[in-house]
Amino acid sequence: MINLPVFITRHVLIALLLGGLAGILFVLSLIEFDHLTGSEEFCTGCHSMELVAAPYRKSKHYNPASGVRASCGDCHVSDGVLAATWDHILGGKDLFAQLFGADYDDPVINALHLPEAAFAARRWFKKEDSATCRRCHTLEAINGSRANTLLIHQQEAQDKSCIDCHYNLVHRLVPEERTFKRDRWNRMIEREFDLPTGKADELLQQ
Amino acid sequence: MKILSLGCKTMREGVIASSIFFLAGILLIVAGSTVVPEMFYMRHVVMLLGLITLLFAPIILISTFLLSVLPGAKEKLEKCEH
Ligand code: HEC
Ligand code: HEC
Ligand code: HEC
Repeated sequence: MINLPVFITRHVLIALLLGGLAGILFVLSLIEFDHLTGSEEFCTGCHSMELVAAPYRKSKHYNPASGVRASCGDCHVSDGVLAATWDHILGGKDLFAQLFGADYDDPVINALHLPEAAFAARRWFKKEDSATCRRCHTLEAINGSRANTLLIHQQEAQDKSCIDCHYNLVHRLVPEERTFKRDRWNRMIEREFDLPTGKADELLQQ
Repeated sequence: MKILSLGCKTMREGVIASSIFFLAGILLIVAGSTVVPEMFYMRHVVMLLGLITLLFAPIILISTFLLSVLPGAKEKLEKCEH
């Protein structure tokens, strides 16, 4: 007969059972939370996100021939419970900005702040090595509709990340960070919304 | 630091506090995704509060545990050990 550990009492058994059940419930809650908050419905609950979603709704990721639709969370939230939960905690910062920051629901303000948001999003994709894109796309298998697309992805793309070449994917076009000129962007927004020259800089100051 | 010296009472308080945070977190998340109206970003605020509350549950429980294995805590906890 082996000696069973004596510290296992009935109370320890109860504690193990309760703790185990609570642990399972905890992880399930996190999974369910990440699922709920990665949905298009949740993301576009703020009007500011409805504005960035408008171009997305015209994109190939929203209306693909196959009907395999990529929703906000598919691209913007990492895989796995821990990483997804972490992304959502960081996303709390954006909620804070929405509540107490500039009026991002205003189309003009939104458009003026958009480039910084796009650069930040691109940096995130770069940092993650476009991991969320690879959920659906397999680099070695991108045959494409043109002759050399397969070759590009098998050779040129090897030490690059999807986002290096495929930025401006589903949202409003924003130039690359290196060539971005704040002045030109502001003038373009002013023309788009019929604002007097200089108004954009004024709005940005606030 | 009085709070760092864990007695039977503080240990029990820790466990109860952890359970309260656990249940409150789940309730907030469920409420945020179902009944809270889509107004002033209430949904998003409630969901975020729920997540943070939920995450506090294991943090409280683990800190309570760590305090209970701190040197010196053993004698005080002897009375409530089985
Ligand atoms: C196919 C992947 C994909 C999907 C789906 C997607 N995004 Fe994006 N998103 C990107 C990329 C890539 C960027 C980086 C900016 C760029 O190059 O367009 C970005 C940038 C952003 C930005 C920064 C501002 C901007 O316009 O660049 C916001 C905000 C954003 N996304 C929100 C959303 C929301 C909300 C949804 C769902 C309605 C969504 N995204 C769906 C890939 C995606
Ligand atoms: C939910 C799965 C999914 C995710 C995530 C996803 N895609 Fe796609 N992607 C698709 C589908 C489906 C198509 C459409 C394929 C078709 O119509 O042939 C597509 C098409 C494309 C195209 C060609 C069409 C176009 O808009 O130019 C590019 C480029 C592309 N994806 C890049 C990316 C990049 C970069 C990311 C990461 C930011 C990404 N995808 C994330 C599913 C996804
Ligand atoms: C070196 C730059 C580069 C990198 C890195 C890269 N691509 Fe591409 N990709 C291209 C080019 C160039 C095309 C061809 C565009 C065209 O012909 O219109 C293309 C086309 C595509 C297409 C569309 C194929 C079609 O014709 O319908 C998809 C989908 C795609 N890429 C996905 C990805 C994904 C996902 C990644 C990351 C795993 C990635 N690419 C990385 C350059 C790149």
